[in-house]
Amino acid sequence: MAALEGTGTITVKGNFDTLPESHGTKKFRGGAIGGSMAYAYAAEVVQVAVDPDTAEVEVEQVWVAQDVGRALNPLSVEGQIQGSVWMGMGQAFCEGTRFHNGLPITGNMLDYRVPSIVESPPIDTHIVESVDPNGPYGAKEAGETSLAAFIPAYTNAIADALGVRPIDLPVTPDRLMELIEAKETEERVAAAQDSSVAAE
Amino acid sequence: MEFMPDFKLHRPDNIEDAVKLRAEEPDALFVAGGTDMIVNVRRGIEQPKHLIDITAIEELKSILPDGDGLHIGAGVSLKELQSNEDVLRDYPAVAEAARAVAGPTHQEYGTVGGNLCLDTRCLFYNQSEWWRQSNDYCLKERGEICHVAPGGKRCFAAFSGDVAPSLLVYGAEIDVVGPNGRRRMPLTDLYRNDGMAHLTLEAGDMLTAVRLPKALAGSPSRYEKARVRGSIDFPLAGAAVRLEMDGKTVKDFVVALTAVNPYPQIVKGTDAYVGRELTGDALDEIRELVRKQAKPMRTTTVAPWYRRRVVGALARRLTEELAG
Repeated sequence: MAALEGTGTITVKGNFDTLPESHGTKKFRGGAIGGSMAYAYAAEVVQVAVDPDTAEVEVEQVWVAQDVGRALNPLSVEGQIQGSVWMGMGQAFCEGTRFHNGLPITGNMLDYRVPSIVESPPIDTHIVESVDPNGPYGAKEAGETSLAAFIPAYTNAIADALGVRPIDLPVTPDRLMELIEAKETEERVAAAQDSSVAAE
Repeated sequence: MEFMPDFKLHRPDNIEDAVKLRAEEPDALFVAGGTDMIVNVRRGIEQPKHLIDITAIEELKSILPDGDGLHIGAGVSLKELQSNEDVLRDYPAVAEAARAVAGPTHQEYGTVGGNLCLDTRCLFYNQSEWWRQSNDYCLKERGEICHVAPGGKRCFAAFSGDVAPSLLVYGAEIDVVGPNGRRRMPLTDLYRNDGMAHLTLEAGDMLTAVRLPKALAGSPSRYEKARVRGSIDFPLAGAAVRLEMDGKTVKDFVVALTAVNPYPQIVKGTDAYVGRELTGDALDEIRELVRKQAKPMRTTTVAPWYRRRVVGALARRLTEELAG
């Protein structure tokens, strides 16, 4: 770590191929990436604030822990995990592809909305180390595991705040407002039924 | 993105020369910040043979208090507009609106005049040349049909500037210089409800300044917009509110909207609240009044019904906040 402070990230070039035994019964085809030797796990917690007038959601804080095997370069692993969270944010709340008569209507940086730095929350990153017997020096992976975890953590946070559970992604404000209004209508109908039962 | 077309760049240092050039060359466009217009040029929407860069005209760049109010040059940057002390103190919604435009880099280059004269926007219009061609163009540009409302002969592209509504609630006036001289008119007269021709400026006209009246200096106001991202995005809907109270009752109340129609507009019927208390019921009525006059169409990826809903909610919220 002292070396990192002085000169920044240590960069080393190397190569690792997963063992053929890990590829299963079929030969790997078409991918530029090899199969991981071991499954990594991530746990993620997201805190949101929802504006009920506009159905706009602000991510206030993310806590994320990932089992990466041995962290060969902790600084790089941390950045990789943060990047995964960020990529998950895009999928969760704004990036979506739409077509009109077969033409991509969101094929530009204004309509295909990648989150901006304004949306980027503080990300509290925890590296959980283990030693994977098959990985290089005990490493697993620090790829997109924390990406996948962001999405359910985010929709869970919304469900906790509003009592509605978004299923379709991205959770754009119009989609969320539709859910909020459907719930309000349901509650009004239920209340009306209750009062008519009481009147009888 | 396409290459820039072959064009000749002019850089006059006074308004008269700029207007003269524009009148002589029908295929010319004024450019100041260029943050929006150059994108349209590179998409082949505009193909000017002449660009008249107006950033060397010092007269356009000042914010000056004068006898009857505050004079804001059309070339003043949005960055300067939001940090000017007179604007911040006397016309707070105007500064707030300038802060809400796109992101900080756009605000550095974008100008007051550019934001007021922003072209209207639509999903089927703000696309590349090949995209529009593949889609048979549209009513607003070279085509025969409107993809938003097929069968219709009207263009619903939405005016998406942030600054206009905040100026409208103060009854701003504008100075326009054209081949026939200089004239002053209310900002409302700059716009018409037509996505294809939302500006009333004639060929050769240049918007040179905005004037905010002294009589309303210090009148409390707010502006807020709905957008997916906290930066970059154009408004999906935006509302400016100016509200003066006399104790518990309304003394003066104006609401203006953007991004929900082809032009920025003042909401009709807010006069009816003068002398009334702003109870919860009154605020709900105001929300519905705003929603009725907002007519967003499918010009963004976000659903139009949401934009109508949210513009009412924003106007209600700002009114409630200003009522204290």
